[in-house]
Order: sequence, then C-alpha cells, then structure tokens
Amino acid sequence: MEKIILKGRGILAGVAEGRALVSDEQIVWSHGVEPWKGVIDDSKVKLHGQSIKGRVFVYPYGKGSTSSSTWILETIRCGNAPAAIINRETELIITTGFLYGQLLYGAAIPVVDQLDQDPLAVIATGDLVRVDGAAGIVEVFKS
Amino acid sequence: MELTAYENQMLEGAHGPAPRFAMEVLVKLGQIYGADRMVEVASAQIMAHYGSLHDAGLELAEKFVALGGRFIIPTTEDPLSICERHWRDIGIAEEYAAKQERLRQAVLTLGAQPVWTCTPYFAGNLPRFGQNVSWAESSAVSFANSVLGARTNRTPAGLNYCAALTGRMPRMGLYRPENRRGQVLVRVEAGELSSLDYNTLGLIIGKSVGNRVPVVEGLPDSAGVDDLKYLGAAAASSGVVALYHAPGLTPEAMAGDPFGGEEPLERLRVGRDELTAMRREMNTASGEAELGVVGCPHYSVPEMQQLAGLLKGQRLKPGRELWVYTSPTVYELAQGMGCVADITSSGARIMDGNCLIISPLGKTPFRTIITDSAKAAYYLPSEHEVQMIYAETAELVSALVGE
Repeated sequence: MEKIILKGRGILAGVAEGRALVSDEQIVWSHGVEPWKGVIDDSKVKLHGQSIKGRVFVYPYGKGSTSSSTWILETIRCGNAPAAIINRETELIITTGFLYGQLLYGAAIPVVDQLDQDPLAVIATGDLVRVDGAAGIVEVFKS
Repeated sequence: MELTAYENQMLEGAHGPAPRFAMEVLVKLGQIYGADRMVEVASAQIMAHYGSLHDAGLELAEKFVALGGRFIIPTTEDPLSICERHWRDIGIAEEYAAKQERLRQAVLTLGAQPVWTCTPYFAGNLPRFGQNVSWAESSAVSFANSVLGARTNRTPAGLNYCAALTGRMPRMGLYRPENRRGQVLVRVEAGELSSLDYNTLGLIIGKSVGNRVPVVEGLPDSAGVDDLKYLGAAAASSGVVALYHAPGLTPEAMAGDPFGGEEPLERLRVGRDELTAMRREMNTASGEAELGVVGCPHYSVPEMQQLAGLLKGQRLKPGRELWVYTSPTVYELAQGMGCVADITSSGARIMDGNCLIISPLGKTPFRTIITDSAKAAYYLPSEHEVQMIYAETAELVSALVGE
C-alpha cells in the first residue's frame, strides 16, 4: 500500500483515522448537512445523500451562512460528525463549530488545512487517512 | 497574541467563569488565525433562532446562563424561528415552539435587547463609521460594513456570544484595513433601478465575485437605504460578500480610493440584459402564487407604508396568503401610522420578529411562493420543496388580491 505524508496547519488537535470522503465542491453545512443523520443534504452537490459520519471529510472550503458553526455543533452533539476535517482553507465559521464541539461535548475531531500538497489531488474517496491535528500531519494510505 | 491587563484578567477568571470561557475561545481562535491582539467591539448582533441553532446552540446559550454570564456591550438579536403572534395558526409544532422559547429566555437572561430582527440598524443598534462591532447574519454584516462603514467579520453563530460577554474579538479579517480594499470593479450600466433590480444586481455580483470585495460603480443617486440593504443581502446569498463599496454612496469609498491605489483584479459590466436574464433564472414556478412572502431582510417603515398603500381596501383571493416579515420595532411604528390595519384587513399576516427563511415553512401546504426578495427566492427552494415567482412588490400584490 502506497503511503503519502502531507504537512499543513494544525487547526484543532486530535488524532483520528478513517476512510476519506472527498468533495471537490464547497460544502455548505448550514441546511446542507443533515445533523440528525450525518448525511449531505444539499441537492446542488455531487455528494448529495452520502454519509459523513466517521469519515475523514475532505473538501476545499466552507460556504454559506454564519450559522454553519451551530449546524456543525449539532452534528457533533448527535454523534454524527466526521472523524476528521481536511480543507484547503478552513474558515473561522468551521473552526468555531469544531472548537465548541471540543469544549461542550469533548469531541476531539482534528482539523487541518493549508497542506503542502493539494489534498483534493492527493486523497481519493475510500483512501485510509490518518490525521494528527496538533502536528498538522496527514498520512494517506492509497487503496 | 498580545493581551491587555483587562483581557488577561478575563482570561484568568477574575471577572467570572463566563468571560473566562469566552476569552479562552477568542484567544484560541486568535492564535489559530494569527491575530496580533484583540479589538474592542462596540455592539453585537447575535443569532437566537432555534431553526439554525438547534439543541446544540440552545445548550450553548444555556451554558453561558449557567456560568452566570452577562452581555457587557449593547447586544441585539436576529429574528426568532417562530412568530409569537401567528405560530399556532400556521401549524408549527408545540415542541419546536417550546425550544425556541427556552432559547429566547436564555438570551434575554444574558442581557440581549429583544429586537428580533436582521435589520438591527433600524432598531437602535447603529455603529458609527470605522467602529468595530461583532455581528452575525449575512445581510446585517454586509449593511454594517458597506452602508455604515463599521467593521465586522461574518461572525459565526455562537461566537458572537463570546464577543457580547467580553466586548472583544481577535483582530483578523475585516477588522484589518488592508483586507477591506476593493478587488473587483463592477460597472453597472442600466440607468434608474427598481427595488427588484437592486436585488437582482446583488445576485449577479455575489455569483461573480464569490468572497472578494466588489466596488460597484454606476448606481444612481436615487439609491436608498433599503435598496442597498437588498443589494447586500442578495450578494451575501449567491456569494460570500461581507463588504462592498459604492463610490458616491457608501462612506468608505468616499474616504479614499476603495482599491487602495491598486488595480482591480477583475472588471465586470452589468447591463439591463444581465438583469433581465437573472430575473428570469430566479422564476422557477409554472403555476399561480399560493403564498406571498415579503420582508427578507425585514421590511422597513417606508416599505410597510408602501405595502399598506397597495393593500388598502383590497382582499386576498380565497386560499391565498401573504406573510409580511418585519421587526417588532417597525411593527409598532407601522401600527401607530395605521399601516398594520391596512395590511391585515386584506387578510395578510404580519410575522414580526420572525424569519421566513429559518421558519418551518416546509411544514405548510404552500408550494408556489411569490416574493420581492432575491435572498428569499435564492434560499427557499434549496430548503423547502417550493417553486418561486420573483417579482416587484406591486406585481406580487396584484397576483394575490382580487375576487
């Protein structure tokens, strides 16, 4: 199995491993991800209907309303959050949601961005990915 | 990050557990995003609609109450997910209403002003030019930055509680002057513009510029505050526009070159043909309108007067509804002017303090909706299974009244 190591900015600490779910489109959490099932509910994106629960969720940026932070927090509260988040650029709105998730529900979900290679080019859906949020290190095991 | 003595006291808990929790969040975020220090914020605009905050946001608000928190700067509130006046007769579930009531009580206990509006600038929350504030709700953020020349980021829901509890935010994003410069030049060549044209123009700008700062030239001198409100709300819906400049109309563009001496990254022209094409694109309905919705963002006093003039002496057709969204403040003024009576005697309902996008509209039987708001026309079909008619206010009234 080929192993690739990416280094970037550790946004939030935590260590997690899971199968990647990769979106090449922006993700709107507010009204776009269903917190009570952990499913992408935005008919405008290709991953519509896919579950994010337990996945290493890779997408370029967040988009949309300032309430995305509380949609993320509700997803965490319901136990349907991804295992880790990898972005090209993680917006304040996304970070706030996951930071509150740590503080309120003890969910240490690692968030990493600004990697030395484009995660959308390197990581494919289904790859096994290990994320160390404190160190900002992503290990990709190509399947 | 460099903190003042007072900020350090808050962080160490000298002012109680709620400011300590809030400062920990703000310092952590400031460190992640490379803020050099905090800015003092003069006011906060907070979200308290259960439809966006859910149980998690309710638990967050109640946590701040349990920690004994008090807002230390003037803090206004976005609309609620239900209208106190009408939720029972439009089929909202008791449990949903009860959760919204708990959230309303929590923010009032923390010291919020009960304005319940996305237009807090019409209800006493009015920062001066250049002042830092911490606002949420994309249209209010755009209005504060662009029309008032105050400074705010698109504060995430939940984070502005921390601003209200401490009066601070990390100095990043639009708090830094270098991030407020224009990047894209939008030249409008369409002569005089109607209210709907400003909405449509905002949609085109948002789609084209994404999250960059547009400089909009060529708007007529007749552009009013409500026109700019709609332009900003629409651009913040189809794009992530938190700030635009309009030379001759918005204050920061008059204080100096909005491009800061740089060349625009991109130039764009919008004429009458582009406005017509976008208006057509927003019309997705084939049938007749069943429900009309206006007031997204909330209707102002002049808009209530205009609607009252259109509806006076008219009746809605059988089976048709018209829901008018505004703030409790504007409602009271409109009532004093007799506008509320003219509007409601037609059969229309005024949903003061409520948001039409956040409300559980999908639970109602209406599937063809007419609106005079680009933001409503943009969001409602993605959140509910509805088709939209997008029209001027007078056309909307004509479609709904009669025998």
